[in-house]
Amino acid sequence: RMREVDLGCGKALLIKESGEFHAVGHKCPHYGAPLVKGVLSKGRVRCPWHGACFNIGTGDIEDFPGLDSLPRFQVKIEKEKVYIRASKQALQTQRRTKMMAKCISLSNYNLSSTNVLIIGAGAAGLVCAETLRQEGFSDRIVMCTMDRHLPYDRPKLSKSMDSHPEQIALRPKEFFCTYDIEVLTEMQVAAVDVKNKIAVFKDGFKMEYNKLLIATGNTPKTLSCKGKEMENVFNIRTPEDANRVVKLATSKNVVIVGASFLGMEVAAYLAERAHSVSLVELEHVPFKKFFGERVGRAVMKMFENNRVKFYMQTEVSELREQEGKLKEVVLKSGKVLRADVCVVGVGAVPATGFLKQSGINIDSKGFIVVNKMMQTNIPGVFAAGDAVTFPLALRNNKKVNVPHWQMAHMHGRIAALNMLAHGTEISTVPYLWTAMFGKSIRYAGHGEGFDDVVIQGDLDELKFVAFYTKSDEVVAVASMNYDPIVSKVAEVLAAGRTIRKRDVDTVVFLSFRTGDMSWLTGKGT
Amino acid sequence: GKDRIIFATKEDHETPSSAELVADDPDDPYEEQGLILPNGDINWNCPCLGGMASGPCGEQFKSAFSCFHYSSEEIKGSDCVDQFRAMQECMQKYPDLYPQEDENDEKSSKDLEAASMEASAAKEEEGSS
Repeated sequence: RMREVDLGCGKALLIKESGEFHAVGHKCPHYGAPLVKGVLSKGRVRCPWHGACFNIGTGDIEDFPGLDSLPRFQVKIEKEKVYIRASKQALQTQRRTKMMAKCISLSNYNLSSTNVLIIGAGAAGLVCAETLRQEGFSDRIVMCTMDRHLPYDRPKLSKSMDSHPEQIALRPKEFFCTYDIEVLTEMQVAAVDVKNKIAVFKDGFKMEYNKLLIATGNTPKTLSCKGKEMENVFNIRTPEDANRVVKLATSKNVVIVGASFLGMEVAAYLAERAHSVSLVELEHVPFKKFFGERVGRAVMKMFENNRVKFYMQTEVSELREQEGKLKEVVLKSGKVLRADVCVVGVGAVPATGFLKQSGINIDSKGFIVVNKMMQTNIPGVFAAGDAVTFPLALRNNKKVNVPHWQMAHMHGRIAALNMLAHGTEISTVPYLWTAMFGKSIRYAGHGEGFDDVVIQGDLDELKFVAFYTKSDEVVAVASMNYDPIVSKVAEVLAAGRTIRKRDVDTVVFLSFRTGDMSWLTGKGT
Repeated sequence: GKDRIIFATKEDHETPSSAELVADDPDDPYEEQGLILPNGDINWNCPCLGGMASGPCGEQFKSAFSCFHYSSEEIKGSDCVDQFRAMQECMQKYPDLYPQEDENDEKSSKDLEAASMEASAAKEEEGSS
């Protein structure tokens, strides 16, 4: 039902659904994935790599990641032939930035007063600002961030650690000027006065707002042991952190604390560049809580084959220095590791400390509580992204925190729509990916509390799909080299359907691999 | 080579929904019929089969899928290799209806994705926006 067609100066994706033909761009605007290998369902196509969704009628982006939509081409049927008409430019760029309004009230604004104030310039903040402009909002929008840079592609920090901020900028700086989205960098909000609608900055500056979005994200946890303040011990929060680590780690000894997404990706990136890479972890396999033991073990083997050493079921007890610089990492197990650089990836806490006295409802873990429209308990105050806990329809509206890239985008969009009183409720399936050694693990759903894992394929070959179940229901799915199963399951879940444990085999059979019989002879299950 | 089947392009008057798998309540007469009928039989008209049960390779597909569905082997369907092979051979004869993906295609897709993880490749995709 989907096919790539070459129109000379570019390709198009031709789609036939319910007897109708549509033609849109063929490459995902996010990272360029071939959409023909994605999943078509109910009027939209989902990208096989990272799950972005596009409406096949309009080309508009409906789920994320990515900021741009697909160009749409004209289709005509004449005498049993399908004709596609497309502009040369659209065929070459293969992306369409949605039309956006500009600010019309610039001339009479008061410097310290804005209509919309967005605290945080990550994915949630940026998509909120862009969505407002796409919906025709033409009043003042101010984004502020503690960071030094305009919004950048955060997932790249641990996957492409050498990237400079300009290389990974989500939009060029001209974009912000063109669409009157003001970004104040290196500005920290110290408090919010919700009664008078004023944000108070650390340097004393005060800004009045009409609508507020809090999208401050997370702050990485640091080590609590002796010597943690030493030089050359890092969290990876900014491009500067990542760049500095690479410089210090090249041909040297690296110790990484924490074997989840950040730690593992950093370990993979540095494996070829450092003299040695050691991973220290409390659990006995990496990713145990997220991907389960068997998948974790298979991934661990891949890392060990790439010279990464694991020190499991232990933690750091002390950091030792020489001439002020890190020299050794001492583990509770007694082992002493030579270390020139230490990267800490042991989780994060929401950056919401500054809201303690504000009256905004924050839960016991520090997450801002919002409803399905991203509204906090205070009218006109919205929150989005990693710092938030929100009702997930997929899990019967249980309040969850999903600190991942796709969700931050979606939150930003929903918040913007509700700032404009659209009444749109969030309805999405969490989707994330992690990439190490040129391989990706894709994941969709919310697997928290899974009690069983059904695996098909070959774990040793890293060609598998894993279904995470709770009681009889599939709550999440992960895969390596088994595309587009995760996008397929994401679409089934997005349609509100339940997948029972006993149906897993059938789902796999029907999703694509009917011709590939390797999973029959493989050692998977 | 590795084959990849997408749904055959034919007129489909039913609401296309690959999400319909099993009826939530087999006793409910108003429940839309999923893949498995209330009496336990396979519903060959289920939209979730994407039309594979009909067309030139319909019989081979039904044979392979039935075998798979009733298979009680530890690796489900491992006793159906012959039926799968027959289906695969049939589908290879009609590449327009059952597009085949070859190993090179799959490899280049993986290389493309690996490259996109590096900043410079993504910048290229961004173009000069």
